[in-house]
Formats: sequence, C-alpha cells, structure tokens
Amino acid sequence: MLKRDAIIVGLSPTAVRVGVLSGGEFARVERVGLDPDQWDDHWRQNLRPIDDALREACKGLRLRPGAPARLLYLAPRTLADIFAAPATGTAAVQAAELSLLQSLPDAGHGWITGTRVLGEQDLRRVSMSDAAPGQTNAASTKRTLVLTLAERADDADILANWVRRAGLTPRSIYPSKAALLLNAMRRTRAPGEQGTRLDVQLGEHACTLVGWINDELVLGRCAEVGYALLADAMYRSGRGAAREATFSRDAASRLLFSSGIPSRGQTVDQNLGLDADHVLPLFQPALQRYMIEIRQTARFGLMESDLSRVRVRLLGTGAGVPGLAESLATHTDTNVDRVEADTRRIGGAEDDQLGDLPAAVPLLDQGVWITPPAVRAAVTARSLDRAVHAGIAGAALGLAALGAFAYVEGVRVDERNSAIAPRVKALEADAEARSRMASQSAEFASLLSIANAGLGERPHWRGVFTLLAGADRPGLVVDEISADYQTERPTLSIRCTATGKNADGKDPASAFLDELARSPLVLSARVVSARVAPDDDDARELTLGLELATLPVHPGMFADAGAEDTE
Amino acid sequence: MSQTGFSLVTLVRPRLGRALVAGAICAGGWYAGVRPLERSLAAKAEAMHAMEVSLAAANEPGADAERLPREAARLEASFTGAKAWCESVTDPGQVYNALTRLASEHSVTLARIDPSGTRDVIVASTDSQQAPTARRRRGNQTAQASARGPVPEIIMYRLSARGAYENVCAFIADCETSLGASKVLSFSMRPALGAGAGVVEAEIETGHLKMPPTKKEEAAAKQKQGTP
Repeated sequence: MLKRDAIIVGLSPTAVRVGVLSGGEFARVERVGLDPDQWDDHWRQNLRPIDDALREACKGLRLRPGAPARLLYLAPRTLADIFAAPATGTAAVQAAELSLLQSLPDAGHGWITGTRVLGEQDLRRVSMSDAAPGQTNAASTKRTLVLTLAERADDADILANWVRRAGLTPRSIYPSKAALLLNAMRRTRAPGEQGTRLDVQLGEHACTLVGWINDELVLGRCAEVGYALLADAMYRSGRGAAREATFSRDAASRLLFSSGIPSRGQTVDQNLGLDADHVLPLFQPALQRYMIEIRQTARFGLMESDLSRVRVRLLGTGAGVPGLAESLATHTDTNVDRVEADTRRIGGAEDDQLGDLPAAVPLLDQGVWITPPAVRAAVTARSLDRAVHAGIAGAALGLAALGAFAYVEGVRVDERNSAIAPRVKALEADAEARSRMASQSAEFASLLSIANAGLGERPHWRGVFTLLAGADRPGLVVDEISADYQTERPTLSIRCTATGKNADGKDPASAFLDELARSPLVLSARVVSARVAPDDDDARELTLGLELATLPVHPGMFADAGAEDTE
Repeated sequence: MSQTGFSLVTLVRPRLGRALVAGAICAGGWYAGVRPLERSLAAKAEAMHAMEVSLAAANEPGADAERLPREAARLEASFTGAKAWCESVTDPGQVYNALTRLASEHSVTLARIDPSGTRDVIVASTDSQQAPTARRRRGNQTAQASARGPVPEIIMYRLSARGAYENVCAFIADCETSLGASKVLSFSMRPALGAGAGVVEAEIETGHLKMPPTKKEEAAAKQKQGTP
C-alpha cells in the first residue's frame, strides 16, 4: 500500500467496512456483516465482540500493522442535527452551541461538541408563491443552518481503542450522520436551477433531506432511516418465506440491491422461492417511513404553495436500490428522480459494499474530524516523548560536543605547548642558571667579605722577601727583620749595620732604602733611626721602616682555577 | 470542535520525571566527564598563555646564552676555589699539622708552636657585602656570638722557627698562600746565635680563618656523636 493511500473504517449496526482510498477513489473495500440486534451489546462491551470483524476486514485487505485509519461510524449516543438559528454569523453559531449544550446531559460535560455553518436561508424567498420573482418582502430576515454535533468522549475512546485493537492507528473519527449532512449540503447544490427541490440522500441507517428553492437552501434535516430498513425487511422475508437458515443479511443486502423493490407477482429470488408477496408486506413499513419523512419534511420546511411543485431527487447509496424511486413517487405522489450514485468505483462491487464510506471522502481534507481523547493523549504522549528524547539527545550531543571541543582544544594546546616547550625549557634553564649564578655570586661575595673581615688586606710577602734580598750587598749587614700587621697598615722594620760607602760614594743603607722605596710593594720607606755603632766608629746602626702595600682578598685570586676548569 | 477528555498533567508528570532523570544524568556526565576536560583545558591554556607571555617578555638568548654556561662554570670554579680556600681550616689540630708539614717542606725547624687564642669575625652584613665592622676578642663577644649562632673565627698561632734565611722567608710567604685563608700577623727574624751564617730564627704569629660548620655538617657531627 502506498503511503498516500487512506484507510477508512466504517462502523454501522449492520456491518464493519474497511476501504482503501487511493487517488480519491476506493480501490479496495472489505465488508464484514454484523447482527444489528447485538448492536447495544457490542457497545456495552466496548465493541470488543466485533474486534474480530475488523481484524478480518483488515486481514482481507492485507493492511500493514499500525497503518493510520479514520473511522466513519454510527454510535448510540451521537447527536448530529441541523439547528436553524434565527441569526447570522457568530450569533448563529453561539445560538447553535448554546442549544446543543442545553440539549446534552450534564451541560455537555464529558461530550465532544462541534458546530459548523452549513448555509444561510433568506426567508423572503422561502415561498415562491408569496412574491413574484425578484420582489422581496420588507419584513424578511435571514436564518442560518448550523450542523450541531456531539459525541460522548468515552464513546470516542471506545471507537479509537477498537480500531487500535485491530492493529490500525486511529487518527480521527466522524459520525456518518454528520458526514451525510455535510455532503448533502455540498453536493446537492445546483447553481442556476429554478424551482423547488427536495434532495433525499439515503444512507445505510440515516437519510438527509435538503430543500432548495431556486438553488437557495431552505431546509435541511437528518432522519434516522436508511436503506438498512429495506435490507432488514428483505432478510426477514427471506428467512421467513424460504425458511432458509443460511440466508444471511449480506445475502439479503445483495439481493435488495440486485432485485430492488419488486412489483406485485414478481419473483425476487428463484432459488429461495422468494417473490413479491413475501417481500412487499415487509417493505411497506420501511417505505412508509421514507414517505412520512419526506412528506413531513416538505410540509414543515416548505410553504404549502410549494408542495405541489416540489421535485424529489433520490441520492446516495440507497438510491441504488432498483425501483425505490418509483415506489416513493407512487407513495408520495410527487416526482422522484433517482440520481446515480457517484461511488461505483470499485469495479463490480455492490453499492452496499461501500455503505456510507463514500460520505467520508469529501471530508478527508476538511478539519471536521473528531480526534478522540485517547488519540489526542497518544499523540500528545508521542510528542512529549519525542520532545523528551530530542531534549536528551540534544543534551547528550551538547555534552559530546563540549567534551570533543575540550578534548580537541586540549590536544591543540598540548601540541602548542610541546612546540614551545624547548624554548621555554631553555628559558627556564637560563633563568635557573642566572638565579644560581646570582645566588653563587652572593655567596661568593659573602665568603670574600668574611675572609676580608677575618684576614684583612695582606702584603705580598714573597715579593717583599725578594726585595729584601737586595740587602745582600757590601757594607750592609741586616741584624733583624720584623713585621707587624696589628695596625691598619703592615709595617716592616729592618735593623741593619752599614759600613763604608759604595763605589758611587753613597751610603749602602741609603741605596738599599732607595731601591725599596721604588718598589710598588712598598708604600713608603724611611730611616727610622740611625746611630754610630758603639764598637766601630765607621759603622752606623740604622733602623729602616717600610709601610707595605696590601691587597684584599679578591675574586681574582680564584679566577685562575675557574679559567683552568672551563678550558 | 470542542474537545474534552485527557489530563495533560498525567501525561507530563512521568515524562517530566524522565526528563529530570535524564537531565541529572547529563549533569552528572558533564560533571564527571566534561568538566574535568574543561578544567584541564583551562589549566593548559593558562600554562600556555604564561609560557607565551614569558617567551614574549624574555630576551632572545643569542650570544648571551652561549656565554652564560662559560660564565657560570667560571663563577662556579672561582666560588668552589674560594670556598675551599676559606674552609681549608677545620680545627686547630689540622692547622698545627699543616704548619708542621709546611715547615718540614721548607726545611725549617719549628722550635715551638703555641696557639695564641681565637677571635670572632664580625661581618656587618653579608648581603650588602660591606666591610667588616669590628673584630673583637672572643671573651668580649661570646654572648652576642652565641645569640647569632656560629660565626667565623680566626685561630691564631705563635711559632718559633729556625732555618736558612731563604727557607724561613719562603715559609713565611707560604704561610699565607699554602694554608688556605691564613695570614701572617707579625714576624720577627734575626740571625741565630751560635749557628752558621745564613741561619736565622724567627718568631711568627699567624691567623687562620675557620668557617663555622654548615647545618649539614652540624647534623652529621651530631649523628656521629650519637653513634656508639
């Protein structure tokens, strides 16, 4: 089955029908008959006794499980009628709603209600005899025909659950009576037509009667009589006359649509031995009902003057019963035209096979359908589930995206870190080396400071002693050398004895002193004391005083070791 | 069509519960899974930013970076040398041995070696690398020194040496250069009576810097004392 195909399930007291609509036409229909006498029992048991009937019909059509379906039905508590509101527009609709609610038990609580404007009537033109064409009555006014519909919410759920139990997915439901009314208003309009006309659309269990004067809607109503009355009469006559226990309602229905209303003396079915004498007595009450409904409708809906000119058209599935139009014409004494049903589209199938299903077709695209609370709850639940799942999925995706982003960014940062890490490491090593050097320098300086504090500046003794070697010269004898570094400057005292003169005539001690004074190791050199030796007049005892140059403990003292190490 | 029938609350309530549970699971997943990643990322990004900032702020290593290890090694060597120089004196006995050995090396006879006391080395501030502010005898400064903890000190010796003039001179000079942080405080040298020519006798006073033990050395010494 293609997706665009629609499935329409029909439920009436006499049959369960399932039709597959393809391209606006019924491609396949499956009908399973029901016993109308069990109708109330079925409802009391929430339609469970007829689950198998629907399953059988679905199985016959090989419908896929869960396929969406709409339901056209008859239910015991359905209200579908036309309210003639003496107003137009919103006021008419409000009046219809108010009337509907007032007619319902519990003021409409627990009911699904709806209204739909079918058309407006101009009361000036209701009667053709009161005024000449084109003339108007000054006191005329308008009224609005409103379809009022009410259904028990729990009945709607029963219907939806019945369809669901058969493996289909119920989408919406609609009462067949209301569908017939809507179709009657829509389909029986004949633009430009003059005259008075009453269109009777005969359904299986209901009929609609719509009156028109010059194509202006003047009345509309629904009566709960359908061709099922005739089928039932045929069934009962067949069972009674032929004593044929196997004569079924389906067979009776088929026989009705094949032989129709027989004339006196006519054989209805030779095999059953059924003739007009058996059938007509039982048909009469049904025909009487049709006749009464037509007459009463015309009498109360049309002016007396229009009754003689009224033309009756018989439409709908029931119009397919042969001889019915003629029989009605005889009984009502009016012209009854039969309009061919436009539902013979399933290749050889009888009209009764479809029942009222065709009435659903024009409504498929209209928002008139009732969504049962159970279906709405299921749809809402699905929507909520989808929303929850979407939310969860969104949150999960969001989390995953966040995680992935954080991971990818982490990898990118790691890569970047890895790229700059060597430079940073070098920088850190550089900083560490500088810090270590700074610390070492401070420590070094501290050491030198301690050494200088403890030892002070020192003379270069080796050099000084080398200088003193110059004292080894003729005429000069060193008696004592003493040094003292308890004062600020180291001093060196040389006690010596000088005799004679040098070759240049200079005192040898003076010459030695001059040499000492010239040395950079000596800051000052002077004769501290001098006297003639007591035992030798030619000799002089001298004391020479030297102030020595000093050097502090300095880093350069240790630089050589560093240089050697690095090299 | 006026509809009637189901209660939205009965549909919403269980799903709201499921949504809350799912939300809690998602929150838990975020807390346990995503948040640590985000925190890690933030920490990494912060570290990277800090590195980039430090890189941007840092001077290019260049020639400086090449010279730095050389300078560091030189400083290290100098510092090590200075440290070894300063710490060459560990105790008076070691100084005595060093002096005796040095005298022996220079063929100088030490007639007498007497310790002549010690004195603390007071350094005003090592950080500011200022000059020493005072040198006082230990007896005057004991309280202050103990309050400051161990301080460097000068161990002083008085020597009587005898030997050839050149040897004694070399001995005196080496007393300052071969014994570490040492100084010849004073000396007096005269020809030795009754000896041959060129033989002198000298009275020498030396000072030797003794650094205080480091904390590590103190701990090691304490451990050594505690060990039976």
